[in-house]
Parts: sequence; structure tokens; C-alpha cells
Amino acid sequence: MADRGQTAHDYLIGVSIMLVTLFGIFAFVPGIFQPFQEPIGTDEEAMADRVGDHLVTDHAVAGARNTLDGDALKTTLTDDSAFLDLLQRAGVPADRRQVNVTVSQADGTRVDTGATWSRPSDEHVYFVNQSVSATTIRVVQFQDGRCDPVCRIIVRVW
Amino acid sequence: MTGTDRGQAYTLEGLIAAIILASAVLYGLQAVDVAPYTADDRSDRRLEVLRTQVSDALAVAADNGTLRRAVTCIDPSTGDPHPRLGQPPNAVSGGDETALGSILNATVGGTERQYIVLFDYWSPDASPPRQLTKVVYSRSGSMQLTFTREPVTVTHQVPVFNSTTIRTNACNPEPSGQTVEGRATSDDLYLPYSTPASSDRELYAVVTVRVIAW
Repeated sequence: MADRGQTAHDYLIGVSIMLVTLFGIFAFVPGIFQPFQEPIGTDEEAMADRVGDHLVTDHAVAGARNTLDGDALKTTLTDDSAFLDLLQRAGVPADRRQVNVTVSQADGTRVDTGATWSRPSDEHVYFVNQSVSATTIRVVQFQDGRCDPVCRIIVRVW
Repeated sequence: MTGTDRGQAYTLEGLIAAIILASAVLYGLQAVDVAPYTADDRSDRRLEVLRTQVSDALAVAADNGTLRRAVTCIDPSTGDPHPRLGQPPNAVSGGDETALGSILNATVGGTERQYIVLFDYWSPDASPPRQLTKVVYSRSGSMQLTFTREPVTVTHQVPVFNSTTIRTNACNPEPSGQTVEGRATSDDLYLPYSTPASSDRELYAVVTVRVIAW
């Protein structure tokens, strides 16, 4: 024993450096577990469901469940504050979630062509085949009968 | 070498080894797909989305009166539900008798997804009195189904009143204005009076429209 020097101290320092390095790597290298994680989870699915529920129930005409006032829905989807208010009520954190709402005919053609029915605008565009999202599809009709026979409200959260 | 020569503590070595081992196991578990051994979330989600859509479709059909028309739309020769109820519209038939089918087909139609439509109603005339079921639409024409995937069932109840007009042909009101009650007393009608005929209640019966989709 007398032959050995500062073994304990050497070891303690070495181990400390190694541990700090190890945890540093996990903490500061983003995405190290990314390939193994679900890109979307039940959180996003629940958000998509709630946004869909709000869109349908808030805009249903009196005495009907799935017949919507198309003008009111369009106002909500095109007015920033109204849409953000709806997202807030649906429990979507305003800072990071990205939400896209598209209204289409049953065959997939957009109702009211143009991006006005999709929210938010360009910087949050949902890229098919590139983005993975939690999706909810609601089947509705509009009061003015523009759906043949039904329209879909597609809510994507990612 | 004796124990006293060791400079490294067993405890520290063990701790480090345990951390490395646990990290490796955790990392490895995330890399492999353990889905078959855990709850099947994906399938649950599919069923949830499908159920929402079919439920929405029935709500739409109820909102615009399609369901109310469908349950009183009969084949005049047999009194059974109109044979084209629930069918998607095609070149031969595109009238109001396919309105329900058109909505359902737009919602869950296609080559992969299928649906069947059933009417459930209470029959006091059967012995013993029980719930009867009419298969209104099934692509294969029967209840002998092979579900290719787990199905969802959605129901919607439709009240039928004594004074409701029977619909024939392309689900247009019977020209003579025959009512459900009148039809039931004089001719064949699949739907029996839900209470004894002596009753003077206005409600004739309640039909549960049941859609099974997968």
C-alpha cells in the first residue's frame, strides 16, 4: 500500500470527468434519441381531437350536431385572434405546436380554394410525406349545402 | 495482491458499471420495437378516428333528415327496407334512396374500408318479444362477414311516429299519403308497432340505425 501514490484521488477525478462528459453528451447533443422516439404522441392526438371538437361544436347551427355555419367557421379559420383563441381553449400551447386545419369535400378538393382555410400560414405549412402529424378527421355538412354529400375538416397537429 | 493494495473502491466500480449497463439497456429498448408486447396504441387510434367519422356521418344524416327518410323508405311489394338504402349512388340508382349510402360511402367507402347498415327495432309480436334486426346494406349481401380488421359500431336512434308518411319508389312520399300506421294495419311493413295496437300514443316505434365499419 505504501508503494501506491494518490490512487484514490486520481480515480475520483477520472471518474468525475468521465461522468460529466457522459451526461454532457446526453444533455447537449440534441436528437441523440430522436430516431427511437415517436415523433408524435398521445398529447398531439388529444390536441387534434379537441381542436376538431371545438371546430364542430362551436360552429354548429342551432338544433343540429354536425351541420355547421360555414361563414362562422371561415371567420374562425381566417382570423388570427379567433383561431388562436380556439387553440388555447383546446389546450394547444401557443408557442410550439403547429396546427393545420383544412376543409375539403369528400373527394379531397378543397372547399374555398386557396390557403385561407389552412392555419397558420406559410411558415407552418404541413408538408405531406415530410411531416408526421396527429390527425383528426371530422365529417360535417354546411348550412348552405355546398358539401356533396359531406365535407371533411382535417386537423393536423405536429 | 491483497485487498489493502487496491486503490479503487468496489462501490464506485459497481456504481459506474450499473449506470453503463442501465443506460445500455434503456438505449437498446428504445431502439427495438416492443410494440407487440405493449398495448396496441396505433390500432386504438385507428378505431377512435374511424368511430368519430362514422358517428359524424350519422349525425350529418340525422341533421339533414336522411335517417328519418331512410327508416320509412320501403320496398312496397314486401314492406322491407328499400333494397338500395345504404348503397352508394351509381349510374342506375342515384335518387334519394341512396342518400344514406352516399354519405356513408363518402365517409368510410373505398376498397379498403367497408361498412354495413342494420336497422334494429323492438318487436312485440315476436315470441318472445325481442329486438329484431334487418340487414339494410352489406356489400356481400349477408351478415356472414369477414372483418379484415377490427370494426367499430355506431348507432343512432330515430323515432317513427304514427303520422309519418311511408316512402316508396326513390324514397319519395307515397303518392296516396299513406302513413306508417295506415300501412301497418293494411299491408306488410317490416316495422311493427312497438306497443300494443290499442294504445293511442303518437310514437309508433324507435329504429336504431346501426352502422358497423372497418
